[in-house]
Amino acid sequence: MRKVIKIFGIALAIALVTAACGGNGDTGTTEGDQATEDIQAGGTLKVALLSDVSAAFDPQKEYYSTTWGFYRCCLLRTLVSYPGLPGDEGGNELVPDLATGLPEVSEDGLTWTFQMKEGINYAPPFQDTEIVAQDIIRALERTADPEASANGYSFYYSIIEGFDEFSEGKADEISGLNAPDDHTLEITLTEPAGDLPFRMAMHTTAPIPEGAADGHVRDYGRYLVASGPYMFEGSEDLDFSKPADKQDPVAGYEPGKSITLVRNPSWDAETDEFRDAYVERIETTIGGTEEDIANKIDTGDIHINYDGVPPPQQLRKYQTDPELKDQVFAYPSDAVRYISFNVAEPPFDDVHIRRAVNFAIDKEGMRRLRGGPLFGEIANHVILNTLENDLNADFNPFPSDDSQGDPDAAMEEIKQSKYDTDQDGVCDAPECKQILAVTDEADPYPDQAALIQDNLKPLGIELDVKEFERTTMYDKCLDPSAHTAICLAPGWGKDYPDASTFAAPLFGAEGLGPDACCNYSLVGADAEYLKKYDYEVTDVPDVQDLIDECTPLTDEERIECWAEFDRHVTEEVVPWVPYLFDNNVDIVSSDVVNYTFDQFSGGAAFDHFGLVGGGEDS
Amino acid sequence: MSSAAAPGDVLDPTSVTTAGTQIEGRTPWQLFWRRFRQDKFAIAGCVFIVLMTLLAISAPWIADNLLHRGPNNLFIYDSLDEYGLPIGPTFEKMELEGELQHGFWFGADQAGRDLFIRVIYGARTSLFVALVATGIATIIGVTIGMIAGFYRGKIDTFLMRLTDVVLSLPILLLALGLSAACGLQKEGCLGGLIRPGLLLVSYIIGLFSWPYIARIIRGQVFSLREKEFVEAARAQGASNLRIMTREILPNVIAPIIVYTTLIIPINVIFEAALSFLGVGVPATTPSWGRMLSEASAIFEAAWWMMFFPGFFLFMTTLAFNLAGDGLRDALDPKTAK
Amino acid sequence: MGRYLIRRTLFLILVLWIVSVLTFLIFVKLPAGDPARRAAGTRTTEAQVEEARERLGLNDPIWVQYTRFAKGLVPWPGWFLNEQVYYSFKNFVPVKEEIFGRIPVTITLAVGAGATWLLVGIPIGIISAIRRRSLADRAGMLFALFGVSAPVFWLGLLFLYIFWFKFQQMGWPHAPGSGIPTGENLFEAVLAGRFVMPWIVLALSFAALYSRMTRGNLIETMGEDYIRTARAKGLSERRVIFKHGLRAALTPVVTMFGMDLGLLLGGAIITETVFNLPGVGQYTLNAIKTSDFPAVMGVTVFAAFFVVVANLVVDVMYAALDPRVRYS
Repeated sequence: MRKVIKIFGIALAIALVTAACGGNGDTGTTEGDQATEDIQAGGTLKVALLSDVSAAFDPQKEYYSTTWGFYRCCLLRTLVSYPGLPGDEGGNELVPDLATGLPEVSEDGLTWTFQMKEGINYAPPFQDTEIVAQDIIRALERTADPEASANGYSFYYSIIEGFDEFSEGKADEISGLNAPDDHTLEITLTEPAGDLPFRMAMHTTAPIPEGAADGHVRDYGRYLVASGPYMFEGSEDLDFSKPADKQDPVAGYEPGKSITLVRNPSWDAETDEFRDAYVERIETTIGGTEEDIANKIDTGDIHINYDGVPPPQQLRKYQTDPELKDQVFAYPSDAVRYISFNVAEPPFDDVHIRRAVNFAIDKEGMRRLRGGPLFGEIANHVILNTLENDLNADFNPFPSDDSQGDPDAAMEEIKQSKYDTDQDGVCDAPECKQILAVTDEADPYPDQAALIQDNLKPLGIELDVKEFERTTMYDKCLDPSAHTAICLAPGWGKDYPDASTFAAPLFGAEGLGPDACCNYSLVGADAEYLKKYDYEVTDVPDVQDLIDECTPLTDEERIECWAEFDRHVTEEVVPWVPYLFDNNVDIVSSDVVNYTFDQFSGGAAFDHFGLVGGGEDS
Repeated sequence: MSSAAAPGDVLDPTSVTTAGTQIEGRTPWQLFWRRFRQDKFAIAGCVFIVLMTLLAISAPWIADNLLHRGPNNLFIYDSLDEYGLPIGPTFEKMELEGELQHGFWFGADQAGRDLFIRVIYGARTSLFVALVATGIATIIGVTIGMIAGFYRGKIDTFLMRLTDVVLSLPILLLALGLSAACGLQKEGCLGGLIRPGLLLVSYIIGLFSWPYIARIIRGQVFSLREKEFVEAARAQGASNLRIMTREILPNVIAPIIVYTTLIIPINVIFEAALSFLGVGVPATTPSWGRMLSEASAIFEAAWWMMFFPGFFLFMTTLAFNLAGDGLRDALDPKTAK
Repeated sequence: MGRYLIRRTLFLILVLWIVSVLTFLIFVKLPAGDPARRAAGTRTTEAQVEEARERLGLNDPIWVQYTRFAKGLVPWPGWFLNEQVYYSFKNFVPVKEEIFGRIPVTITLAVGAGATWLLVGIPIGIISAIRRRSLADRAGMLFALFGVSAPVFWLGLLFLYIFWFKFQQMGWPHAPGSGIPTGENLFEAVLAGRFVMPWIVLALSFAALYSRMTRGNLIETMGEDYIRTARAKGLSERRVIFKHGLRAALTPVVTMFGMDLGLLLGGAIITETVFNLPGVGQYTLNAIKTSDFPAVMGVTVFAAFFVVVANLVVDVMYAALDPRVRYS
């Protein structure tokens, strides 16, 4: 039952970004060629998933990094994609996939042109169908269909001319999408967006052949036509000639039970610069506990747990045994874990209480409950160090010995609070009792919640912790009418390497729930919004000016601006207790060679995995 | 289903108690006591229940005065290793936050809490829920059983059909649903009428476990109301209510006690099951079921986390079963071993 | 008998109806919050929520909503668990498909466990009854007492710890771990022994109950007049017991077996959770936790359906087995 997060909510509302993409020349990275020679192709990779993907593999509905991982490595090719490497080896940089190169953009930044490779066909039963530009348009049209597309992907694409009109049914096609020939796609925007290529790397834009998704508004994922090196087993038996409700879904994906991927015979390594696809077959079992899976990794029955963390006993065993140590892999997943205050809900409407909590929390303890130092670096501010060139690496406005919390400093803060009527450093107002706190029911969050309660109790702050299944937990934190006062288990990952992805969606009005995501702290909410959702507080901190100030800047200036923003938010606004810059930790079975981390999905990159001797002995 | 067959009665279908049969000479209570005290298993069960209750009641005292730590105190640096693995049971004194303290007799759990304290606090939860739930079940069951048995006819048919319906419900499922619906929001459900907490779980369990008692009591009352003393009271002009409470009720006390004792263990397991599945008592309340659920992720490395809460749960249900069996046998020698 | 069965059937339909109303109220109406938003998911605009509300018919009067839901419970082609209503909005898979895909696992678990507890429980009960107050009787009843007191979820963990983990550590032949690996079908999983521990663990408490029940019934039956008559006729004791005594003593056991099996076929939630078996129970728990109400409604009424059918079968069997039952 030890399920663990892969950061779920990733930035939706993107601030207009100018930098990031432009002329980064080193694309088409080919990774370690010397390793390639040693790896024998073949074999069956056995993967464990604790829980199923979120929307049965429907690319317009899946907003889940685990699924993105499967799409990227194995199932779907997009115009541009990511190479499946760690960040410091180019894992954050786009590489052409179906396109021949990165797109060209017009002078005014409004028209983008992608050139596509020729002669790439779909997996069976569409093995004779070539992937053409019109298929990308079809995918975007499906993205615009509110019934087929869930979780608000349209936020990313409504800058395409005519997208919203199509979505509302006022147009028959998206006027900003044009295919002058089969291998050229022109995209016209309503306003410049430098990050368009990143948006076109999302799998909701992956090509859909004509006729495949028809009648599968709800369940296309189970009829998914692959373009990557693998496909669901039994894909060749899909029969799209029948009426949709008479078709049988693909055999290789049994929801909640298993995912079986086999080689896509149409895939040609010659057209694919970065996927190695050594293994012949990928079998994924869904369900079980981490401990159970850990045992199977020991015996080689399972090669890797894809969505869980290694349990402590497994970690200790592999970390302390020199022979096993090289089977443990930890990479920064470019995410921060934090506790989020609702700055409109008493007692956290008082900045002194928020500061006091920041002093009181034992961050080292929080990390140990996750498994210790391997799981990341203690965070003392909001934005990742890598996105700020380490400008704030030493910034720590709420210091304590060994990061174990400073109760005395916390009490000093409490004394200044209006909720401490007798100024003895213990909050005595009724607002400090029975505070609604929400957390994730999966390990280690309930334990972390217990630690937080234990840390806050001496301050007179008593939490009433409710545990929910993860998606419900995020809903409760986001919904302003739930009046969640403190949210104990969120995490935030970057969409692409720019500090702005840590600003507007988290602290801007455009990220406020319930319509948008993921401003749980309600920073920047206006009086009208607060009134609408029955908050007594009428005024909360606002950082929109600072966001607007940094957004147009570039280069050094931009980074310095965001670093300043970070310091201001962390120390003056105090909407969070950031406690960990997260690592993804995997332990793989000894049969696995060439473990590779994919910075894009924050997990393993199966397209680079190989098995000892080509899987002959297993 | 026909109530004569009582097929849904999972308590103990081996007997239908007939408390009316009494031997002349000694008082029934003397007889009962003579028989009961010879049943060593039942006595052992009772002793265990008493000890468990004492332990549960004194848990806060033990925590404050003997061990100086509570069920929700975490000792992350003293009882977890650097990977987060808890220490096992130890009777040696150990250093906790700079002071020499009693060791963790049952080991630590995955959050570095003292499992012994959590287990004895868990006893409070289990006993509280079981007693309240059983109390509710008994009140509903006895009322319905009495009315059905006393008035017979259409009322009886209706009430017994109601009982049948409740017995046919997928109880665990509905209980899960109710707990999930009412237990997970601050405002509870039904407009705040039902609030999350220990009582909620007790209500839910009580709501589903009364039919056993109702059936038994109805059977008893059915025969009792024909007895002479009832006729006599009626001849004196006693009201129905008076007859039920003054004449009949005292005569069904024995089966009430027996069957109450026998559904307590069922309710103890019910609460543990709900908590095991994650919809039981609130997170901060130590519960054996929840401890077992926490253990299920780590029990191969920390067997104590699985063993101790389960063992106490098992012993408690066993003790109530032993006591209940003993009570029944002593009150109704026909089924004695 | 015909009239009796019709009455029973009508009663069972009434039970199903009540279950459906309760389920509807508990899972759809009771939880706070907007069901449309729950259905539409996070990060959706007002318009999308409205669209979901319209699609799910949440603007309709409550009885219309209930009728739509109830229609899916009528075993009629095109109605039963129809995909218009019974479609999970959490993972976008039809509820019917999930249930039908998982029911073989649950049936395997329930039937195997059922056979186990009959084979263990009844002989223990018989031996205990025949040799009353013997060592065997005491041992048998002690087993029964332990059995009814041990919670399934603890036993499951204990068994996994001992027979899988510890045995494996010792290098002894050991039980397979929990779960069914991908690529192994149900038949292969049974052959690989993956159900042995779940069967035993699930069966234990039932075996205990059944042995007590058998013992009690048999003792009672052996005191009846017709048994004395049979004895007086000079029949061998063995013949008396097995020919005459058992028949009457086992009748209630059979009825109870039907009921218990019916209950388990609706999903053995705890056992499936502990041993990670992809059955109906696991699906149910997940659906409840994610408040995926089409799934929960489907599965709950499906479970009730099994209980009710089991009830009916039991009634018929009871009537056939025990001539004393009159259909009044």
